[in-house]
Amino acid sequence: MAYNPADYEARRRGYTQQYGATGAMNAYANFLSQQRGTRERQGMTEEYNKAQPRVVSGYSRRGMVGPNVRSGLFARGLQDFAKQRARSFSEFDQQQLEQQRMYDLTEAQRLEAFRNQLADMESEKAQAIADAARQLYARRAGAI
Amino acid sequence: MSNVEQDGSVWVWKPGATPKTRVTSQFPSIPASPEAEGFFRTNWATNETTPPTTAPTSTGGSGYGGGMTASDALALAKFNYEKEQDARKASGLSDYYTGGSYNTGFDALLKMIADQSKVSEGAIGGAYDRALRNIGQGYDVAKGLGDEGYRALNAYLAANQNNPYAEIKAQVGSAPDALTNYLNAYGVSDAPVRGQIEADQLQAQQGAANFQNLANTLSALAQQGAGSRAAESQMAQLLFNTGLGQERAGYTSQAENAQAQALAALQQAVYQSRFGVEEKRNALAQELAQTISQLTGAAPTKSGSGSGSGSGDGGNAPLPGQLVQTATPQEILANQLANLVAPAQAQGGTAQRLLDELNARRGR
Repeated sequence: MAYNPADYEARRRGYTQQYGATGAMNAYANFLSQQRGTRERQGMTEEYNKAQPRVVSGYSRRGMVGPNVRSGLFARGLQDFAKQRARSFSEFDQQQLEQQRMYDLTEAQRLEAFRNQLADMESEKAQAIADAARQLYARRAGAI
Repeated sequence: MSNVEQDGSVWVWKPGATPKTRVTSQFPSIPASPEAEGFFRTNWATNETTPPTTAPTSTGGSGYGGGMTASDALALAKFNYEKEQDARKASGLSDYYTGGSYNTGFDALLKMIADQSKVSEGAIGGAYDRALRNIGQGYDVAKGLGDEGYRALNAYLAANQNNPYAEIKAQVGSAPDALTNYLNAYGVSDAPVRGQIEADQLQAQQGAANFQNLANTLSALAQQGAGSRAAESQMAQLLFNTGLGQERAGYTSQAENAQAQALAALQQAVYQSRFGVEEKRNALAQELAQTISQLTGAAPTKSGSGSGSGSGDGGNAPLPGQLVQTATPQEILANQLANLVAPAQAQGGTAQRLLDELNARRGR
């Protein structure tokens, strides 16, 4: 197999272009995901901020909370509300974090594959150069 | 009437007969050679009937009167002429043979063959040297090219360590708000909420640790891959250089074999050429020896080698059975006559024997 540098440069450009295009697409998808997550988190915050007064007013209508009144049910109800809120935000943030990790992992794998492609190509190129050198040597020695 | 008469195909000697001047007068200008004349005068004066004291006027010759007619003189002259021609031929051939002159052409051919052999041998050696030079230079060029390719590969691999997982750091999200202030405003403790948040954080940290472990594992695998690539490159380069060295040895061996074959073919061709020359030389020498033997009655002996070596400068001194090489025609004639007459004298022969000899030589 004769050595042709142009072939390898063409392949390198192809690999790089493919890697870059896919990376840009993934990055944009990741950006959109983060943007969507931020909006969802803001929505959750607004929902919980709106729900807080309703929780207190509900216990208040039933006479479980008021001036000099602090029932255990109200306290537990308010704690449950706070725990649910914390759990919701934790799960949401964890979900967002895992999505980000998956994106990072995918990008790392893509980068590894891209570099492997380039390294394979460089190895192949070195082998082609060595083969070409041996063929040239054989021709020089009159063996072919 | 002549002293010599032809009886059929045989000449007959008749001493005392009257010379027949009619025939001999037809050849008045043919003289007998002085040596023959002196010989006959001596012999006829001593052994035969009538010594020729004066030349007969009818012959116009120089004095064979009495016992020899002009016809006898003619026959003797012809006999002498033929003997002389044979002697000249024998002497020349002998010179040509014993002096080694016939070797000249063969020696020139052998020298030409030897010179061409040297030229061809030099050309083969030159071709071999060029082949070795090409093999050596080609090896250097190929090794340099291959090493440069692997050097570029090693440089690339060193500059592009393929370990993207090393950059991954598993993050743990921030803890959510526990609504502490809000709960405290209503006199409610936030301890259960913080407890749950801490549990969630712990779980998140475990998840992050697992992810980090995964990243570390992938990173280690990537490092192993990079190390494997580096080792692969070194091994490929070693294999390349080893193979190249083996190919150089093979090419060198091929060149040596080609040189040996060419030299063998050359030697074979030279041998065949020399064999052909020597064969022709021997054939010619054999032919010369046979001819000389037929002419002189004795096998010639070569004084010099005059051999295939091309010296051919054998001595000119006559050897037993060999004619004098530098004899003049007169000496040759005298020699031939002496050889011819000596046996007759030894046997007490007469002129009749001479005529017998003459007839024998003339095939009658």
